[in-house]
Amino acid sequence: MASIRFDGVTKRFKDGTVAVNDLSLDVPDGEFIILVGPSGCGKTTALRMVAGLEDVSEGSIYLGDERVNDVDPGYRDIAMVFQSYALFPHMTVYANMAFPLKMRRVAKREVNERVREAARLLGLEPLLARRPSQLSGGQRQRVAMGRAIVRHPAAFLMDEPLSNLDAKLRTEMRGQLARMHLRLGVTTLYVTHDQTEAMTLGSRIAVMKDGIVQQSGPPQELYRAPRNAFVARFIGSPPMNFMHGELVDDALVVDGPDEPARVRLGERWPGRSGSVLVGIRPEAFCEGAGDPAEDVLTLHGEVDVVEDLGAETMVYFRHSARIPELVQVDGQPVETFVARLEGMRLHTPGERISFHVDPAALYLFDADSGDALAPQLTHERL
Amino acid sequence: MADGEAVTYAPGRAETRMERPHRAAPPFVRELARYAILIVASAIALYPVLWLVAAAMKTQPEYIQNPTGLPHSINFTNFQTVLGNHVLLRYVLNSAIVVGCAVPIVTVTSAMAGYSLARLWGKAGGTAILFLFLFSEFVPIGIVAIPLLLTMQQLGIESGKVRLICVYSVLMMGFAVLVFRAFFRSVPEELREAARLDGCSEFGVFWRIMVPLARSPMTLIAVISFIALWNELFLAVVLLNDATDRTLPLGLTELRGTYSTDWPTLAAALLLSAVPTLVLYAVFQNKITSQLSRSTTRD
Repeated sequence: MASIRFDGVTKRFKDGTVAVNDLSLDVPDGEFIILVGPSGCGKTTALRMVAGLEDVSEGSIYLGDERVNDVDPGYRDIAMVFQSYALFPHMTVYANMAFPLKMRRVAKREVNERVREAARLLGLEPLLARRPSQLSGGQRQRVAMGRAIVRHPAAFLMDEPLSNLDAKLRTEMRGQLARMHLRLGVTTLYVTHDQTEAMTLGSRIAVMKDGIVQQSGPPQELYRAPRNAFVARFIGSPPMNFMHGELVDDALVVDGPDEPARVRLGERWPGRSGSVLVGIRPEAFCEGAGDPAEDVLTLHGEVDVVEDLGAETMVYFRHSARIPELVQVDGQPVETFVARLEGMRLHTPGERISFHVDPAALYLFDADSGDALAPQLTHERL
Repeated sequence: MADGEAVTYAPGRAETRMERPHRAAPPFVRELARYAILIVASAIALYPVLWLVAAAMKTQPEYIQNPTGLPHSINFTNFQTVLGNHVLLRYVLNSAIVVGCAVPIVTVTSAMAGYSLARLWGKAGGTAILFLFLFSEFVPIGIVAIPLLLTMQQLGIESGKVRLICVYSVLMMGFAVLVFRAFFRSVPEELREAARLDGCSEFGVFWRIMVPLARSPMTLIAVISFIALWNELFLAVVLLNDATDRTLPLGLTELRGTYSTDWPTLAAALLLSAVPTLVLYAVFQNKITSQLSRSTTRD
């Protein structure tokens, strides 16, 4: 086993695109770290550089103490699980799993032992004689995992290994992955664009955007104290709601339907004024207008869509507050807010609705740079 | 609709087509037409073969009397004559050696070239080389035959068999490289990467992963090359000096005399010479047709 270290790594493609920009990241031995970000953010390129499938333009990558920039992929002692699984179609499950060992000239008896052990761990024993084309998606995924673990590699690299599975199987495999990491304790670098996988699997998450790591830390830290609006929006599902606001003295003012809503912030953001981005987690909304005597931010809106999920209800509503252009999903501006309410709520589209938010649950970001204005909730860090 | 509007309204082509519903012929009529065409085509293709079989069963006087009709009796004397002819058997052996060497060479080298062109080359250079291969397909063999002979002589290659093996090995390469390139482009890049990570060298990836995957196109190229080279006559005429090196197609021309030709024996020899290609085709027919349709629809 070994640690993985990126030291100022940059990847520039021939056409000039910078996929990874000055990435420095330390993955200690045995850690399960997740690289997460929207497509095209450079996370897969970073992973492929560790594997040796892409050259490093600048900087160094270390496996353990060894600089591996110029080491052939086959000599890096890492195993990779591909999004498409990359099983060899002409080989049986057994031969697929034995292949990396055969390439390393491991004795036949040991190959047999290790393949069978991995097959037992992954429940693949009855399938060893089959070919990949005779397996279901979930089974193929497990074979791909098996091929990686038989090698007892120094590190695992996983490139969106669950993205081709249906939702139920994905949840199941997520559990299996977590158990496997607990049992084997191998350093794992895991790439995904799914923030649920990121939150549940990793002991640490690194959020990437445009080739730059925006923030890295334990999942709860990223959730509670995002360093900028991008991380805040990316981590958490449904994502954080954003609107424009003004800091006036020690109060926050946001647009309202009749008159601007105003809330006193107290001492959490002292001495700032000017326009800001206000972030509100969907779960921070409480139904009903707040008590005017208390310092809460009250928002009035109109129900757009209601998603009843049984244990909770998502209420999408329109609010007259200006939603920043920065908040976009797939290039489309977001026009509704979403509130996550416990239990079943009976609301109909078009209905008027009011919510109030405790100012302590507000996130404020610089309106231009998107950087978090204050280290929110630092005292609650895990 | 107002009159004014009706005047400006001009139906387009699509609309006229819409107004006249297409009346399809009943299924059995269509089926009948289809079979009729196939039967006529098969008859045209099969007639020379049947003629050859009939001729091979006849004696020389019988053939002169009745060249196109059925033989009086089924007799295999002509076949026995051919099989007893040691010179002809030597030609068969020559052909087997030349084709037997050239086919594996063309199959393996084209697979390697096709793989490189599909994967490892930068796009611009790869395309240029691909065009060279394509271009070679369009050059009539007559143009290069004499230069080839002179080159062989300058290189000091005296053995007719070696000359033919050299030329035959590249004769089919243009087509073969195209087929392999199309095939390897359809193989996901991740397989190569996975194998590299598992410890394969670049050649190891080709040998252990790509070659087993390419069994169908390899069969296609091997069989097609075999058939083409087994019947190749022109280059054999140009490149061979020594009578002992003659291949079967060249040898068969000997059976045509200047003044008289023993047609029934020639027919029997021709039939026997076609046996290997027919057997090969029959065995691999399914693989060939499926691979051919795949390599033309992909890429």
